[in-house]
Amino acid sequence: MDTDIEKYESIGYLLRNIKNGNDYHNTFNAILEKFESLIKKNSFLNGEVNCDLKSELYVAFIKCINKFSIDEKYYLELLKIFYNNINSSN
Amino acid sequence: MLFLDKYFNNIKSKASNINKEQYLNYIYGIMFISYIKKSISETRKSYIIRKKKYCNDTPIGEILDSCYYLENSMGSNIQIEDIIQDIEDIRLYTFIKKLSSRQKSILFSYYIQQENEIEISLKLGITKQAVSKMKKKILYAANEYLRKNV
Repeated sequence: MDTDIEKYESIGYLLRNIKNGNDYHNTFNAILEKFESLIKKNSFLNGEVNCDLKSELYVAFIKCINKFSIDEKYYLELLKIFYNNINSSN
Repeated sequence: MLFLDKYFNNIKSKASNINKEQYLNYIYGIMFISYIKKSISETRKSYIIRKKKYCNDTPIGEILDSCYYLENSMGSNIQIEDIIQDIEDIRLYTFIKKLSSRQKSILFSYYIQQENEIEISLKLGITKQAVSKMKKKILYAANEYLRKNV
């Protein structure tokens, strides 16, 4: 599970970089590398790679990166609620 | 909150010494992965549905090539009859021949002259809504006709 956590953290780190506008090109490529296998897997249709579908998936991926919003306040409040719950249970 | 539970159990700090940066990175990572998986599977599904609905034997590249040829060969003075004569698909040809002149002119000005619905409505002396209604009706009829006469 530790490796999983590290994986999530690295992706989050890259996302925060890309949203803050730090070295967009390289960070985008780094994120793409991580998700390229997922895109390739989904681009198979009837046992063959469908080029149209693959290109659409790439477009969807770019849209996802642009649309994804980083809301620090919301997640920190979530953490506070969780923290209070742990304290009250103890 | 399951992922938070997992996170704290694995980190073993139990909310005593939480690194804010690490926590945020972790949560953004999880959220983004789930978001991207969902959106990719959705686009794949929608692509398959679209392909089933509008599946033609001719690939899109050929259709685009023929459009390009039409544009180049005829220039700006394109007439409705010229385009109808150039249609290679017999089913589409017979369907368009059956349409009234008003319906033909709506299709012609919308798809070939690339005019707005408002411009067409001003030309024909009807409302914009009527134009869009007529256009939808024609397209629906065309779809039905092409499906029946495979």
